[in-house]
Amino acid sequence: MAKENKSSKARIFLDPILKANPLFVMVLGTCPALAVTASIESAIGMGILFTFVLFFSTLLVSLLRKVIPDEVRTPAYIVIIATFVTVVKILTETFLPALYNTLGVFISLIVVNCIVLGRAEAFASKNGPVDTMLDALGNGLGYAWAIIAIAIVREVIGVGTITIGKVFTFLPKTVIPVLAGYSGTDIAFNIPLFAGSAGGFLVLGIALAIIAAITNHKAAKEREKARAAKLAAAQAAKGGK
Amino acid sequence: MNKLYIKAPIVLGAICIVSAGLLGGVNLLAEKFGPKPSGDAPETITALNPNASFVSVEGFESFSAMGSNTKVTIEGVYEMKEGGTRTGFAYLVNSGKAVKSDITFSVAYQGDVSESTVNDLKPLAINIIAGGDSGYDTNIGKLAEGIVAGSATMNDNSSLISGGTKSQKWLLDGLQVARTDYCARWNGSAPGPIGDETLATIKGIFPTAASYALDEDFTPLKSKSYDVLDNQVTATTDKRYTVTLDDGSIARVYEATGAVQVSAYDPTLLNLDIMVGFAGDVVEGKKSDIQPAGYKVISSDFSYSQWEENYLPGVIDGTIDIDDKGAIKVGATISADMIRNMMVAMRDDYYKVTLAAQKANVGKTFETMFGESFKSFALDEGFTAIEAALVGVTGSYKIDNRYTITLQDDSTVKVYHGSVSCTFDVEGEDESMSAKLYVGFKGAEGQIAATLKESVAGFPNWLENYLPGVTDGSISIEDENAALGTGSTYSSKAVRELLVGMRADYLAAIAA
Repeated sequence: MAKENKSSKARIFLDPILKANPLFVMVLGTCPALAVTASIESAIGMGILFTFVLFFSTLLVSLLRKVIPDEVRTPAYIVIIATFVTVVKILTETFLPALYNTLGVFISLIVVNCIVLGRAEAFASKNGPVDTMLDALGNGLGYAWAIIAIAIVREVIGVGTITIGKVFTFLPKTVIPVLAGYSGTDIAFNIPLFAGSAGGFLVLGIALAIIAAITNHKAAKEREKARAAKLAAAQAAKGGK
Repeated sequence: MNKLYIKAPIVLGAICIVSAGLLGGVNLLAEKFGPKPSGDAPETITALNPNASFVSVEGFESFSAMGSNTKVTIEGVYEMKEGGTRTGFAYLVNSGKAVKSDITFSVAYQGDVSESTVNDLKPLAINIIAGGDSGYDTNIGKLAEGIVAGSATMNDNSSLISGGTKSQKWLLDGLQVARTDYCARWNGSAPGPIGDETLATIKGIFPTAASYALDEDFTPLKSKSYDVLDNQVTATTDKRYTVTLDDGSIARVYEATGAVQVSAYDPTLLNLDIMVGFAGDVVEGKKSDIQPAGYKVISSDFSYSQWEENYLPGVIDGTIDIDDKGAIKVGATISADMIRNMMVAMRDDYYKVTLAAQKANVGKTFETMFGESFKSFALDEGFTAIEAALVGVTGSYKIDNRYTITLQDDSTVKVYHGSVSCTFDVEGEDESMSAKLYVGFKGAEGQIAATLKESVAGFPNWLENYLPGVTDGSISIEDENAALGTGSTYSSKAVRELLVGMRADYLAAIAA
């Protein structure tokens, strides 16, 4: 029983990271995924802020799930989420002004991110705080790695280099040449389209297509397996007669 | 149900109160532990570099300068510091014609720069605060982004985006003026207020302008006409400046405003503010020989400025005569015609005022030359200027005018105004001398009656060692060797040839 419980908690945490990734599988939170993925640093920043808001707001929703009347749960959730978004906004503006200026309005728009409200409504309001924390961490990390992956592709292909220290100003400013920007050379391979808005759509679209292809392939295999098992069972039953 | 009416507001209210408390706490925390904003710069400046602090430069006073297209005002300068080290300067700039699509922006420059590399320096960041051509103001932002990214240049107009080019040019002017200041300020000299904006503009026409004075007695020159489409065209020259150049000569600069009505049904006016300069002597009766020496557009609403590209250069280099109405075939005939009218009026005024001044000066010159015996003078209208190459020295002379002077005893003297210039070698060095002189001749043999130096540049010894002897008759102007040993042998020889030329004309004149 304990083992089963442990495995269920691992699934709560791991499923949103891979199998039920909020961005790549559920296709939720696409607006910031397109808007803040032009650079890796801003994607990391958004990932951290998003996970913070998701973790604390769903935890509070879970803790208050028996107190909040069902009829007013949505406004209550929105107030809770908005509170944590505002906390994040104040802290970012104060301590990381470059990140605040880079993400701009998309920090405030975490309030209306459907993943946050969705997890509060679908999971936190029905489960205890431990499961909720695992679910929030899983979803936060799942969303974060997805947007960081998009950002890596966009920055590398779009700019040709990876820049560190521009948003996280406490880090030394470094430009890592990947496809372009090698010191003392004229190598300058990059496709600016990927750094623009269209590049965001393109990379997300390609990622969704690849994941859909893998998922469909796996599902087809599962179906094939099930059919084979069913056939074998039927043949065994026939032979028994 | 009744319970819900009580519970719901209590829960929601409690959540809101806790939320407010939490936010208040976080805010206090941020204020207490967050980095204290250093400096006194407004947000429009601090936004240029969130990692830096900005402190206004002590003692800075707002100043204006002329860009290529318009007036630029630097309203503020802030020192940019990162980690306590100065990394650059930020500027608050207003550029363009106030009210009509002027733009206000902030710009930051950072890093080392020198006069030789200043054109390579691009801004760290530009923040467009307000203004721009209505409907096209976003193009200023795009241009600014391109300049910061390095995909557009601020050194010329090649990166302008179609639509709203006028305010984009004003942005470039502002960026260039701020960059010039940055170069000086970064390298230790704080140029501060340029101060005299009018002199700066006049220097754009006459680079050697030393000083100027507004002519208080000038009566504005106004004209109003209607083009073929019944659009009103006005030109008003409302100021005239007398400008003294470095060499002491006088030029005049006119400040004018032209306006063209957009259409007969639209009272909107397109305005042009321009300064036009005239220089040089005038010859009585030859007004049409006078052409403008230069001009400076202060501000222009005309986006169609072919008149500036195709008409004015010809006027300035003398290939287009401003009296020639037929020369205006430039694709912007209304505005070019307005400018032509403006310049013709200025030219007429310049002729009148310069001729009067010349006459007054000549009269004073003769009073100086002849003292109390001077009675009156008259320009010899029939005299034709004489130009000739020097024989004994490399150079030439020119005799411009001849006057007949009547003295108190009713005797007459012919006075010549001439100039001479020569170059020569002194101990392996190329040297030169130029001079302008008034020389009077009298009697049947052409004895020198009086001389007066107007100007001399280089080797003046002949003034003391040669000219007095020639004037009092102790040295004959026929004597080629008399110039030797004067301490400026070549110059004396050149002056002798000028005098010989003048005397030859004198003898011919009295013989006739």
